[in-house]
Amino acid sequence: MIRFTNVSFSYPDGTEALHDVSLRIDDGEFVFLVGPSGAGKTSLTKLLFCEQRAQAGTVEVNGFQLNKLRSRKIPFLRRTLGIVFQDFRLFENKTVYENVAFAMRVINAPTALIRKRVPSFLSLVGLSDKADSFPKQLSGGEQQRVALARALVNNPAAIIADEPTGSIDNELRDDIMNLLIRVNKIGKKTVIVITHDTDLLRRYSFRTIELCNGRIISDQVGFDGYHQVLDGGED
Amino acid sequence: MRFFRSMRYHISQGFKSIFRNGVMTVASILILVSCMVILGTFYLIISNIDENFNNMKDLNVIEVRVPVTYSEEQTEEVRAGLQKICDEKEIIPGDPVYISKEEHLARFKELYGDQEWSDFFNEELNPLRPSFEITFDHLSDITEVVRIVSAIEGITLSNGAAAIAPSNIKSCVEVYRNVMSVKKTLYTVGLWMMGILLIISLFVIINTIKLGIHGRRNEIMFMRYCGATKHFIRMPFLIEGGLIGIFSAIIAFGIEYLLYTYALVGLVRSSTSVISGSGITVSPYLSHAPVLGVLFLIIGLFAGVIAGRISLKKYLKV
Repeated sequence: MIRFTNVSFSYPDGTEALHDVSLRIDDGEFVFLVGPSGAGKTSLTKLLFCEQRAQAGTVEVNGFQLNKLRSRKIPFLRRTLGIVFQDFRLFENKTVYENVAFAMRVINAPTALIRKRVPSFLSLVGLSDKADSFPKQLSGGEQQRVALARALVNNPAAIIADEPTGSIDNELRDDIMNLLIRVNKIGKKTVIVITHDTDLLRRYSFRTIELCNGRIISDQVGFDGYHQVLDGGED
Repeated sequence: MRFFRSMRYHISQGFKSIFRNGVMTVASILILVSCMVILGTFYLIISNIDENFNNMKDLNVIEVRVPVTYSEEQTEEVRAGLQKICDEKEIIPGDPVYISKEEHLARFKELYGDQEWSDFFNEELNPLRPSFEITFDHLSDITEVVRIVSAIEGITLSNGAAAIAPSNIKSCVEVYRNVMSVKKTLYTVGLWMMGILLIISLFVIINTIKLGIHGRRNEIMFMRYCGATKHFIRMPFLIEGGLIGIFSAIIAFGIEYLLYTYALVGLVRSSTSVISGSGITVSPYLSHAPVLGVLFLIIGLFAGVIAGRISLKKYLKV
């Protein structure tokens, strides 16, 4: 479970990123986190990963009280979270198999377990036949699926996907979304998708939390357009 | 098991990093090797000076010369005075040994031959004086022994005269002081040069590791998000520093061997060398190898690990 209670956070230069934010995301929920640039989405993610600490309020993530969390415990919090980046951030010099295995290796997982789990997660994302390929040999959609397998392989309780469809074609967008929904429904994992993609928000009716200027301005199931008019209109 | 698994990973990453930053790694190793070779060379020179010095005969002997005018009784009074001094001090284990005029002449002939000086030094005309020799074990005690033996100057003979004038006490204390001064200079120069090079090598290694951190910044960022511990992220860089140190130590050890065997030993043995034929001996490299090996490893690991730690503290925020 993820719970923010009256959380405020400012950067050292004084920029207020989050103001009195309270939200609760239960285990197994699928949530869209939306909002314009500078709304506070990235800051909220940073607080989730304990990269930054809230100056006011309390943050609880998967049983960890982040305000009191000791530095040496942070890696163990992060092991309960999986992240998927918009630009995939795969390692060009590693094969698909090695990219996924790397996530396990850095938490010092036994080699036997790596050998057992990596193929099954590659199979889950439909890339068993691409295990020996390098990222450059894959399409954008395939690269994002590798990134998803890599986020899932350590069996986190929640997946945070930052613009997971931002760098891929519209046709492949549904593939990734269907995968995330499978992870949520079958894998029973909390999925938080950060996105600007209004088409996506309209197509998939899930809980949508809208942030603007560091505040939650809407929290509802489904998307009926931004509640705050963006500069240059809705995207 | 977890420890060995992670160490295997860290060591392999350390090796990869070394090859990834090829040029900077070579620069780090070269400068660290220079530092070690300079230290090693000074160490070998000083060790050889020490060995040659310690092997020289007669340096640990103090001679108290008896004036020619002294009767047998007065000579015996000097001996008794010296005996008393020697008995009281542990650093002079033996008794004063009397060397007659005749024995001195025999030594003189043995040293300089019988021909050239025979008009001035012979059985009829023997200007040499009898003396007492006081032998001690450790050359480093020479200053103290000279001080102790000089107490004989304060003893008064039965006829009221001073037992011995300061000019009659002959020792190699000046030679000893000169050699010690040369050694001290060599130590100082060697340590300063090593210190300066060590600081430079620290900077180069710090920059090498900084480049490694920069080259792996995406990996590091991802490792953090995955939940890798601080220790796990940092360890390969420390191992990289340590490996640079170990490689440098091995190379420096080899270069030192070649320098010592072919340059220093060659110089001493060369027929055109000034020091050739002077009786100076050079000890084999193997007798210094354990000390040098350990010394180089300590310096290498110290420089590598310290530079690694500084680099991590400065450039890697985990």
